[in-house]
Amino acid sequence: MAGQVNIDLPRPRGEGQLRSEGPVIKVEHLTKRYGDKVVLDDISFELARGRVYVIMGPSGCGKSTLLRMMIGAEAPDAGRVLLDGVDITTADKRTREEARRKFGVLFQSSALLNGLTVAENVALPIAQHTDLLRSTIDLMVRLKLELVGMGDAADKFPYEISGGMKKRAGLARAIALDPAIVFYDEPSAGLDPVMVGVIDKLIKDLTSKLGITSVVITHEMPSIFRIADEAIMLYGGKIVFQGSPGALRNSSSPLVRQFINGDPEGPINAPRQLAELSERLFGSGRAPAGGAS
Amino acid sequence: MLILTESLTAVGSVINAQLSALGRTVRFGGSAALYAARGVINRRIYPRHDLVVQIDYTGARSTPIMILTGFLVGMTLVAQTTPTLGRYGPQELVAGVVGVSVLRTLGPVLAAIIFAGRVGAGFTAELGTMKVGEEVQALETMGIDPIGYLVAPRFFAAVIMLPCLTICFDAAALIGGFIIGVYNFNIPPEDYLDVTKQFVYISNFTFGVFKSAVFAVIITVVCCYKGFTVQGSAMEVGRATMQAIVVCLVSIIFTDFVLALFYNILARYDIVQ
Repeated sequence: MAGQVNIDLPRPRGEGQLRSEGPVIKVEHLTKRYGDKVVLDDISFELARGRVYVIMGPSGCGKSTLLRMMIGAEAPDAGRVLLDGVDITTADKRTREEARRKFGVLFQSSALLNGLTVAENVALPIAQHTDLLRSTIDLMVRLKLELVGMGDAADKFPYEISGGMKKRAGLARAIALDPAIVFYDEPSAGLDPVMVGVIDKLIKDLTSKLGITSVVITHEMPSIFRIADEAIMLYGGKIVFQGSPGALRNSSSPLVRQFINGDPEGPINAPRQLAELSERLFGSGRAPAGGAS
Repeated sequence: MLILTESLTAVGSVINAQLSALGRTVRFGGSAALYAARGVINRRIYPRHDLVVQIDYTGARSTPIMILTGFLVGMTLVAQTTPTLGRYGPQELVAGVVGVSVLRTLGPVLAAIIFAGRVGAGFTAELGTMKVGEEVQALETMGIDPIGYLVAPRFFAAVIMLPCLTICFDAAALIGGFIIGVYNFNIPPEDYLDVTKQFVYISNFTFGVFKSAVFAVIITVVCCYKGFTVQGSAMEVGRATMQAIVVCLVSIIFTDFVLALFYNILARYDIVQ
């Protein structure tokens, strides 16, 4: 079963180890514009090690942009991101590649290489960045796959497995080099509630058992309350909430309340065309004829 | 005056954009070539298995279509040229005409066009799909350079295999022409071979093979670059593939013209015959 294997995994050549004792990630005055639109406006926060952070907010609020900047895939217009003390936004190619070995990323689409089997996908970063023997790599791959409950699917190709299995395989690849940080881009997207629960449990277990820092981009409220040690909510390019899930639940901010409750009315602008279409079709405040509720 | 200024500005910005794109493509090609060469020594850049797969895909699997097309082209050339040539002189001369035109231009160009359609389009579609599916970004976040891992083996395989395929195409075209000349137009086989030997120089063949290596570089760089720059949805993959093939076809024909001029300069100084 996923997350039940407790093995002291070998760490190849100290890959993924953190050097500094300070915050794992420090985001300072990050700003990003696309044309006239300010997506991130002077964002600053710090993430400590061994905790699960959830970054949430409505669609288009800049969550994915923030993630891309934290992994060094996109440059900000202003500000910087310090990853274990290294400014990843201005680092040269070699420094950035070294920094990248300290984190793994689980992509929304899992992003497994379709030409490789699940086991080959997990083995890829180990083979590329270590001098380990093939037999040792195979052992490590098996351990990682067992850790996410995918031991039986090692020889399958990505197109032969379900969405939930792809996510778990992607997670096994993300932790292949024992990173200090794992970024999850909408890990629950497109999964059924049971599989969402499995992934949530994996995130919690990996964080506690391997001592990694997890940064989860999501807007799935049940997941947020299940896994988060701290939540950060973005809206309009700014951080509008930062705190524990308890504080999130009890927040009096209209923005936060609307987002948690999923109200179509409130300070968060729902797409106007949709609201107008809904009103034209069903009238204001009335359920459609024959509608269940 | 205002219209003229605006028109010039528009033309200038189009030229600027095209030159920038050309610059990025050349830089991309340079990186791919460098990685392909470094990968011979450093096994981490791309797995040997990937190179074998690409050689099989670009070369071995393209051989039947090259032979078939070459054969048909050779037969067609002889079938269409011989009657006209016969009106003005001995029809055996067709062997020389076909030999020179196939080895110098038709072989390399047609083989490159078939290669672009079969292999180049596959490169763009495959890499474009990987880009859309975040696979390219995943490689980057794993600290693996996607140009080295994905483009270099394709580049290496294409540069080796397209000249080989061109040789197959040339051979098939010459054989096809010979068969039609001998059996359809009753040209004595020894005369056909004699004329071929008289007209065709080894430099025609070697320059044709050199051209095909240049075409392989163009096709791989253009098609892989187009795949790598796909953004958005899967629909964009189709659009990028179409654009890649159009750019390849125009580039192949233009480069062939430039190389033909270059060949003439070499011939003027007796460097080639």
